[in-house]
Amino acid sequence: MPEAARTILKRFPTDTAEAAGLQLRLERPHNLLQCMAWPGQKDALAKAMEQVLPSLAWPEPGQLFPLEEGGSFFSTAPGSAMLLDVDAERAARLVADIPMETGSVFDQSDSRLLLDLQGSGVQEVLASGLIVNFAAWPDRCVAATMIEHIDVTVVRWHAEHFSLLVTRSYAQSLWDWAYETSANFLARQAG
Amino acid sequence: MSGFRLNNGGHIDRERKLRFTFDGQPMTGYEGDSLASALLANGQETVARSFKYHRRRGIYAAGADEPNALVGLRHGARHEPNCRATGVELYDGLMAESQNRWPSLDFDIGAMNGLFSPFFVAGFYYKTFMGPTRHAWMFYEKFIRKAAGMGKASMEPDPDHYDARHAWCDVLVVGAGPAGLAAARSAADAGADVLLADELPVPGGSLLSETTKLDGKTSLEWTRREIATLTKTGRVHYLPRTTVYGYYDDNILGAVERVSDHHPLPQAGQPRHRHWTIKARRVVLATGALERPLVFANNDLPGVMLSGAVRSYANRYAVAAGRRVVIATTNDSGYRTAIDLAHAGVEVACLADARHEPPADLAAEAEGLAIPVRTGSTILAAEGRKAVTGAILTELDAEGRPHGKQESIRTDCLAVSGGWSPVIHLTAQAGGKPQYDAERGQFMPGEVLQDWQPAGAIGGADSLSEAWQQGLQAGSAAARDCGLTPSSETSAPEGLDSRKPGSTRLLFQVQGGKGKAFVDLQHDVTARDVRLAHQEGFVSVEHLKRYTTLGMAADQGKTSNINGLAMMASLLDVPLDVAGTTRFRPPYTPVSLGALAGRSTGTHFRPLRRTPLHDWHVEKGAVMVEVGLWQRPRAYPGEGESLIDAIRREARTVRERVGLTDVSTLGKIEIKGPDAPEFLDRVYSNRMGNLKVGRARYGLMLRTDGMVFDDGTLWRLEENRYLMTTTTGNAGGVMKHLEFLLAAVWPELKVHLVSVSDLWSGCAIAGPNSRAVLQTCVSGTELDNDSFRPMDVKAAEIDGAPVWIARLSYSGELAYEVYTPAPHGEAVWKNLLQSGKPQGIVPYGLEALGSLRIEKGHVAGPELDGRTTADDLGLGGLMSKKKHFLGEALARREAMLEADRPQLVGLVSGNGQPIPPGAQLLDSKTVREKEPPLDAQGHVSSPTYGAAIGKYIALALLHDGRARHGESLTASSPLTGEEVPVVVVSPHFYDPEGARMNA
Repeated sequence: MPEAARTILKRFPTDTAEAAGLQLRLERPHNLLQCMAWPGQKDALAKAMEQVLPSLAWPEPGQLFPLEEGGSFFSTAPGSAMLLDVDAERAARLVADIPMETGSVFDQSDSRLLLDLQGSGVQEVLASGLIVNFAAWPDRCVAATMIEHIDVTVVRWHAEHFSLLVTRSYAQSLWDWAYETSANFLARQAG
Repeated sequence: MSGFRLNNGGHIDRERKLRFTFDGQPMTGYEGDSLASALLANGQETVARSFKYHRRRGIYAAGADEPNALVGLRHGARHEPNCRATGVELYDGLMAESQNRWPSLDFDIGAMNGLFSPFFVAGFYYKTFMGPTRHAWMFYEKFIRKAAGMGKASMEPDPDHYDARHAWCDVLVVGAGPAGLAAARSAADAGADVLLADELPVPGGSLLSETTKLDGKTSLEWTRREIATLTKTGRVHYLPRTTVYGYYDDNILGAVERVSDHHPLPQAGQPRHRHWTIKARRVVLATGALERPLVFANNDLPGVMLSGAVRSYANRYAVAAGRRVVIATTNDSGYRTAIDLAHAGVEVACLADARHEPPADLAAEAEGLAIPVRTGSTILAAEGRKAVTGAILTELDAEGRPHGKQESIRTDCLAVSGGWSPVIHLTAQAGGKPQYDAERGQFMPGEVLQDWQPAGAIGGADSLSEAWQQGLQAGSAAARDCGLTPSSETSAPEGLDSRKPGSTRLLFQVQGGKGKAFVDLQHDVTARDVRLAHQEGFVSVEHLKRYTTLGMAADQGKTSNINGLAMMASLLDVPLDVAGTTRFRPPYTPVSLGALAGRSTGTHFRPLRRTPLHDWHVEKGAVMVEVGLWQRPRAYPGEGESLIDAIRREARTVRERVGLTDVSTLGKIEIKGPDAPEFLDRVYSNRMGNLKVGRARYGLMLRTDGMVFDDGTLWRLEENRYLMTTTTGNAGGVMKHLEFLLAAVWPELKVHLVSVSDLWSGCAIAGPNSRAVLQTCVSGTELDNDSFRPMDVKAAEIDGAPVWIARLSYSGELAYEVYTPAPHGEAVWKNLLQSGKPQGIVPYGLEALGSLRIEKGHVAGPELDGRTTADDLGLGGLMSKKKHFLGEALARREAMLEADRPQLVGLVSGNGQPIPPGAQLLDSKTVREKEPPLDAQGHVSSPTYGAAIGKYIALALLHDGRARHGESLTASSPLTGEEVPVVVVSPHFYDPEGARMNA
């Protein structure tokens, strides 16, 4: 994590909500690129991006595609997708080199934070705020939705690991919610 | 009534004695008791006073249908009125108090209402309090409201928190009685994800009131084992203490879990209630049935109870409701109660069966236990003053009317049963109108309009064994509907009662007894009230309900509705199905407001947005203010400094030296694409397409109706990259507006937009020394006046952090906006403050920022109020004549160009007093006459104290304002009544030529 990001995150201790079955962490993603194709140009943009990320395949909305080069590619809307945590050099090339006639790549790395939740209690915690049927939601899926009136992009890595992408200004409100809901869960576990 | 604890039996833990108080009296109970069972066991006869007549009331039922025993629990902020004692789990230290009485439960002054009861009939308020004048009700209302109501809610903030959960499942089973447990088992065996919700703290439902052993175990032992087996599969999630209260469209159901009501206080982190929103593919409703009482004279005396409740107290809680019990029944229920009481050693003085031919097996069993049985008889009236002391029985004719011999029997507990009504509330909420089954004498579920099926009593099961079988079938069917294959290996527990009950004699009311006969015990609605409603023409059941308030209390008429409807049907001489039922609406039982609010209280009422500099502001003692969702620093008062002084000091420092303010909250949109210049030309009223790289421009956006929508600046960062800033409050609106235009109006334009409001941390450094400060810390660009002109935008660095710097001024001083990626925000801010120390830099807050812009005559939100045109604001020059733009056509309408439109002006206070915000501008004639409606000439939009001018000033919108400079008016606040003389001046109070910002 970059030093500057750690400074911003000082109010979010990484271990306070850690307990049996549950771990919360709020951090800056290594990088986050928003890739947007012009209407009908999705394949052209994907092809252009393949120059930098050969394993890339454009995901359907709601899907997450793990990249062989590291990082993930996911889509929440037609013609629009996000690259998460690709290496810095490739990210810089994508922002600089994608031809304008195929689409646009925006560097959003500093605009959002990643609230990572792991453990057996994750679904129970998230069910307090998310209106999502976890049973019908396979691994490596993504949804743009809301928790407590806060826009979030939810990434399901697997049944016990989720991430919430949230804009920075709302991050502490979301953290407060997650922290209190987790405390709730832990109290329930404790009987 | 003299209830007492039985020596044996019950699902209570006699090893765990619990202490509690009722109206301050210490009492004891056991783990497993409800408050009601414990009160009965302690011999407490009267537990409440009735709503209207303040009559003594005792415990009547054993479950959610309890109409009488409403009590207040806990004290202080946690006090909760109107809790059903039958649903309150006893815990050590519980404090309960009776309500609706003064000064005490035993001696209640309000009972005098009974003397006037002949007047307090249905419609009393409507008839009595309408005169003598039109407004008389307004006078009476406060007295009536004071007298009305049950219990008092705490006025203190609720200290507890509440939770919410969203749940999906294949099968939701409502009710964990025999049918519900069987349904859960068969659905889970088929592989379904099952949610099993039950309002009781333990599983079993009606099984808990049985004495028979299941697989050799007590019913509670057996149901607990069954739940353990089910939950172990991982497919059944059991929710005890959870009432499914509402059935909504798309198979969505609402439920409330009472998480910690059975503890004195919620444990750490524990919510009090949790609200569940459940989306179920299939629902199995195994909600059971409620017993119907009989309506007869004095049927509200403490000691009159439902027969099934008396049985429940004996079998589940080991509590005898009385020492000498009389039972009046129309069905087998009374026999089962009598037999169980006799086995428990309680004297049953008489069993009056309205039927002439009871089932032979039950009659024989009763005879074997020496229970006197009177067939063809029923209760005519209860006797007693403070509690029931006797029962007058009567024989019935074929029509159900009393005739022949009457007999008075001494008793302290009168148990009555008029039959059973399936709990069809959820089925009706799901859309199906209840159907009357004349053969059974019950309203049954109507058409199935959503994905549910009944099991048990509401499916017509007549025995526990049949309920179990129905549950299995319903669970299997539900699983099959979910695409699963049911298994057929489940068998019923050994010992489950399979006896079919005999018929029920339909009897709702027994007339002829002396005394009030109550239909609705909770709202004090009598048989006479129902007759009166009929006489006065309120014959529809919905009208009956509203005129008499029958079924409108907290119990929603669970024990009263059917009897009231049957009586109205009888008065109308129509069958019960023609009279119909009133509409069943959620909630089935009361739901706390806290549960509905969930976490959306206090700081969670709405999310807060914080800038990257938030912690710094707070650490430095800034007075924060919420602006929309944003937290912004209002000012930074020093030690002992008032807020006003701090604001003036900050504003003065900016004018004289230099200040730094956080502008991170401004909306920021990054724009890319080959058609971006064309797009920007269309959305701004002024030219933007020709903006050069490295330059910024102030711009105005109009709505399609020609009114000003928003203003801000546009920065061209690179050839194909723009940064648009918007007002803080309108950031989301502008983004939505632009996205709509691209998606729906101009889809042919290749333009992409992304909100980067959170990406950039922004600060404005303003004041004559601002350049000097930047020169000490910025690298990568020259900052002198020739190299960095007004409206220039340059990339640079501050101590290694990348920054964009734009020479823009909102304050009217030499000023720059510095944007850096959010993670660097605090470091850059601190660096600027450190670098500016020799120049006397101070941070300044929102108030000083506003004051400076008012002095300069810059418009903001109060002026961009959706009713002003560019010309009104003196910005007509930004309406380009060389290109077309959104809103252009309607902005040039004749009415938009009239001279009399409100125009931006400045005001100077004429008496040295502050100009009231929002004040109306009145001329001297209007002020003198003050006859409404006042002819306001305009209004004050943004008042302040102009630190540079040394006067109270304001921006205002005044009709034909530009032609009225020098005129004297009065700023009159309709809210505070303040009146301040003002002089109209130019809105540009400070440096109108712009010499300072261009220096």
